[in-house]
Amino acid sequence: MSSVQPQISILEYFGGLSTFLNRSVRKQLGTIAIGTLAVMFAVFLVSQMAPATYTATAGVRLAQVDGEDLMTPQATATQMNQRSFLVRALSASDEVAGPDDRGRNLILDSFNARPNVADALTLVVTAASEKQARDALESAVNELNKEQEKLRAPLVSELSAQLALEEENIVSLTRIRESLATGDSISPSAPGDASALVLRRVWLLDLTTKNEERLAVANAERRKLVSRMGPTKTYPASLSEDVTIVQSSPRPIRHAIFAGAIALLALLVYAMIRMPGSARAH
Amino acid sequence: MLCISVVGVMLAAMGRIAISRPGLLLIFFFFFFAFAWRLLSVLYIDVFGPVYSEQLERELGPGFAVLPLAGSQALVLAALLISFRPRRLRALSDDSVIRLSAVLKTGDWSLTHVAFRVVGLFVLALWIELLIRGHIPLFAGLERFDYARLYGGPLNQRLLEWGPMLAFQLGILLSLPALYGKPLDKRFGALFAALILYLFAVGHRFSSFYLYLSFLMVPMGAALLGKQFKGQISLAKLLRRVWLPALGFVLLVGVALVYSYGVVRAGETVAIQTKLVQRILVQQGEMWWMTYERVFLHNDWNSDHAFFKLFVDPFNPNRNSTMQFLMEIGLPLERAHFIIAQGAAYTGGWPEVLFELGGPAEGFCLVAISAILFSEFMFLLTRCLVEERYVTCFFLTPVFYTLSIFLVSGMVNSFIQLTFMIKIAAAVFAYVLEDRWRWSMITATASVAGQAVV
Repeated sequence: MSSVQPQISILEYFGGLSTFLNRSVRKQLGTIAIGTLAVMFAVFLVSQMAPATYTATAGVRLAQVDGEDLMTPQATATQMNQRSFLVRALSASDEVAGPDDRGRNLILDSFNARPNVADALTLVVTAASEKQARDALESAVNELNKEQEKLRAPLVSELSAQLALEEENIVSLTRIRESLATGDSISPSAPGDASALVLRRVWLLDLTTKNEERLAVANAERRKLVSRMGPTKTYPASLSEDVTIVQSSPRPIRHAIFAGAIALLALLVYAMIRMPGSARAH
Repeated sequence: MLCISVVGVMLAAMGRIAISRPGLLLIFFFFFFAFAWRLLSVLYIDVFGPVYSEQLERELGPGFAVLPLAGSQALVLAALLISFRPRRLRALSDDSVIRLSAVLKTGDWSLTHVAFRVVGLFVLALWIELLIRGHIPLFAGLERFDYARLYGGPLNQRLLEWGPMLAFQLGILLSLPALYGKPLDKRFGALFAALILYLFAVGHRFSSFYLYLSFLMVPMGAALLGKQFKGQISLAKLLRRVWLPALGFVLLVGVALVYSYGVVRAGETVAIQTKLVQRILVQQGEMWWMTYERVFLHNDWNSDHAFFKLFVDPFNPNRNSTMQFLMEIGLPLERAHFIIAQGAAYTGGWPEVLFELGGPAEGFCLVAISAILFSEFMFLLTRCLVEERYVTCFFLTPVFYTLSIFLVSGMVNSFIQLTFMIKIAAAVFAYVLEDRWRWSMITATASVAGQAVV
């Protein structure tokens, strides 16, 4: 054991390492360069032959009735991520994946829905063409609306029934207003009875005021119901307009660079192992 | 009784390793501590259950959850003992090992001097950044996360990302003289102390101190292993040597915890006892109990779904997907997503993730494979430390960090990141380069001296 702690010189240490690397690389420079380029070229060619695939990403605004979510984003995502859901969606629109199984399986394997913000999902799907990818997203949203109709219809029909009742009420109140406005209702029962006429007029005024108040309330209620059923508060799920589609395969340059980096590392390691000094040590 | 006996055996095995090989204790302190804590927590749930968990909002236990957990940990201990078997350790002793300094000529620019200046400048800059930004969490009563988010500068951010790895490098430089039987290099001890005080000032508590100290101790443990066969080192002797800094460290952790619960979170003091019971005895083991219940009791596990959620579609792919997945299947989905979106995560992950992937039987196989890979990597790292392969150690550090986080919190999605592959490639390149260069130097030295190289 050394009793004195030697100081390690950075210059000697890194100088020695870089000299060794330099010598190793120079000795096998041709192999390293040609090997790396050959691997890159081969991977480039193979990758280019791979069939093209496109990945589409889009947001979905989830369905609401009366300003409330029909289902939570998490529950909707879970429902949409079930394979059977997408199978039903694709069956509903046969033209999406075309006749071949490959395109259909690609969509089934790659489709993914994930909760995004409070009332939205992000859908991602990969397909053999841009059109197929876009159509797959649309059919998934259509299927979602179709399956949510069971939840949506009772709520909407309840609102519609309330609206119909309110409209009937308004018609009835309007009819009363019209009848109160006609002169017959205030004609005196006994001519010359002034006090009775005054009383009748007061009574009629009171009736008219109350009727007007009820009519105003009914109109306000109707407006509220119309607004609750309006397009800002009640709507089905819809796909956002800006669907992003990128070509996810083939990416020959990316694959060639990746393969080239691995080949370069492997060849550098080979060159260092093949160095005469280090080989002799074994 | 069975559970208590099994936990007793496991703790005794760890204690035996600590006493007989203090070097191994220092190297694996991070894991032994986490293992022991989780064992005790799961034992508490098993024995005192049903125990209410605040985080999971349900009752846990009683049961035998500690048995498979102890089995998994036993596999790791066995793998470590095989990797660090006496024959291999003898090869690392002073008589057998060839150090870098033995084959390198002397020259200018000492490694330790340069490293001290570089790290010293960084630590100084950290403190200056803290002071000029004006908000010191220790005095302002801020949580560390709030400070990092609201006021933390770029250096603070870098420290949060790379701090434990810096502590590991400090440990290498600190323990370098110990390889030659000299006292530790106190300059690096002072730098580490400045770093720990900085963490204390910016509101860190137990977990950061534990992580940094564990990483600092790994190289010291490697240096001790080299002395193992000379018989100079025992645990008592080691404790006598480091009692003063250790006491200071424990006091600092104690003050940080008391300050955190007493001042920063003063509004929660009414429930402090409940919180401590939950934090210490329930939260460490609750996620394992959930996995035990699903996989071992209900035989309910789905490899494909687990694989998909871990590697393909985690809720937040930039964070540990294991805990996100465990929380998603253990809690109502909306609540789990809400908590994850807040940036919080529960404790645990290993070996839960392996049993969720493989089920009860194959899960043990996965545990065994992970234990073997980990223990062999740790031996490689120890060998590089003892042989003074500093460049290799530098590039192995991020890989070591990733493996450590995997073995404690089960993080697996970091293994498929491009950055991790680049780190692996850099480590392989550095290892082969330094290994071959060393051999060429050794053969050259031996040829000059006319000796045979074995």
